[in-house]
Amino acid sequence: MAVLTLAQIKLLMLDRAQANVATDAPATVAEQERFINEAYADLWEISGGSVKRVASATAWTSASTATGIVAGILTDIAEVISLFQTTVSGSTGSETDTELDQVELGYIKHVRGAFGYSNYSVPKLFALTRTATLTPADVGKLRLDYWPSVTGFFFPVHYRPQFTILDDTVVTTPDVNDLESRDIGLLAAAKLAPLIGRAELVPSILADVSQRTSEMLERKLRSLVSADQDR
Amino acid sequence: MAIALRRLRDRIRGRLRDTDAQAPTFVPVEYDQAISDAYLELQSRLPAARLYTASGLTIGAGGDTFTLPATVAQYTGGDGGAEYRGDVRIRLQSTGRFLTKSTTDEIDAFRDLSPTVYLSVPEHYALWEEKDQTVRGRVYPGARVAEICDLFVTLEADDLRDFIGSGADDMDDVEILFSRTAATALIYYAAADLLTRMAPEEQQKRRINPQVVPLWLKAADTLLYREAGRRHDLEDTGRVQRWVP
Repeated sequence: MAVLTLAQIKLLMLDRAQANVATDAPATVAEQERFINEAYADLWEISGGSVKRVASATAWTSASTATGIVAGILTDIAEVISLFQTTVSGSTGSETDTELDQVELGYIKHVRGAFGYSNYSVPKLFALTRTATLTPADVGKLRLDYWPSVTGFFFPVHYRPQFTILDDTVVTTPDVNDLESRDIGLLAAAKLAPLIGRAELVPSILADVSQRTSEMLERKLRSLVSADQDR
Repeated sequence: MAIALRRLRDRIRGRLRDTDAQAPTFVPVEYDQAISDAYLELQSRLPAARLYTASGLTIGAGGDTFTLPATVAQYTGGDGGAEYRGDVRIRLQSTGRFLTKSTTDEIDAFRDLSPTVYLSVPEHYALWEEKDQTVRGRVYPGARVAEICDLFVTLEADDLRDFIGSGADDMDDVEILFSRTAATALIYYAAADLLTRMAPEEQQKRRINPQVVPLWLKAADTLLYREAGRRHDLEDTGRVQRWVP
């Protein structure tokens, strides 16, 4: 079974909520998409996200600098999985590139000012900080601090992207697996049903949610109620 | 046989299962510090390395003092600051004779009541180390003509962190001057040191049992003892010796 598209998820949601009508629909198209994206956000968190692999020029405004500081370009980085150093400009982190160790920014500041650690000719450590900004387009950009501040290197990065909502034109397919894409429709239906007077359908809808998603949702609900993450 | 520092670093890192670059327990700088410290510790427990330098020293004509070379490169790119272990033998090229090692008090006794230095062919020498680790010496008699000497010395191991660069080399390429046996002892020793310093929650994350530390230290001691035995066997003649000057 392939991953469902937004259109298929909509049909699934409306069918299960008994609201799949052309005349006097209880929820508008925009409202349907909001319910779906709300459910998608829950599934996104459970799914763990996928990894994007980009070249240095895609992620950073320049290659390595003599200051050991490089500004970021991307605004959709949720978590950096790996950062590499390479002399190949277009590399996206190949098997011949060396991964840097991630440390706190304080450690980078310490080694920059230290004299007892001898010489390294390739970057070894890095730290990331999110840049404060009032410009909407710059929200989420990162600053890369690395050590030692040698030049001539590029920094391809593997990262987990932030959540991107579904829409009819650009992002039409959720970044989850096949069962999880079905669960999006079911969860959205469970959220929609009570609001359109179909609350009695919720148990039957949730009964069809996949086992893994059920367990993760139950655990999330327990942590919200009791803050107990260990069970 | 020398081994590049980066190879030992990775073997220690693998032994500690500290291979996750996203959340490392120790970073390369910390590993290199542990390796460098362990290297000096283990070298101090082994017989000193010997060095023969032909024409390594010249006693100037009319003088009675000399200075041992202050720079002896032990590995490529090192700063070469020489620190002598203690076994120093000096042979005059003019006569082929080894000078007799004496104390400064004995040299003073030879020189007593002589306002000028008696010049001839040197026979005795004494050494002392000054506060900057420069080793100087005096001979008796003084040298009537310039005497070129061959040097046989023992040296303390150089610190791996005193790397000042050579070409494109960096700390990754610094040569650890150990045999295979001693290098393995260093791996065990440095890994035990780092594991002892590792916080319990990091040990759990790495799925590593700290009870292995005594085993590693014992293995390091065994290997080091074996290495010291090998070095002694190399120089030994297999019979009891007694040398009387």
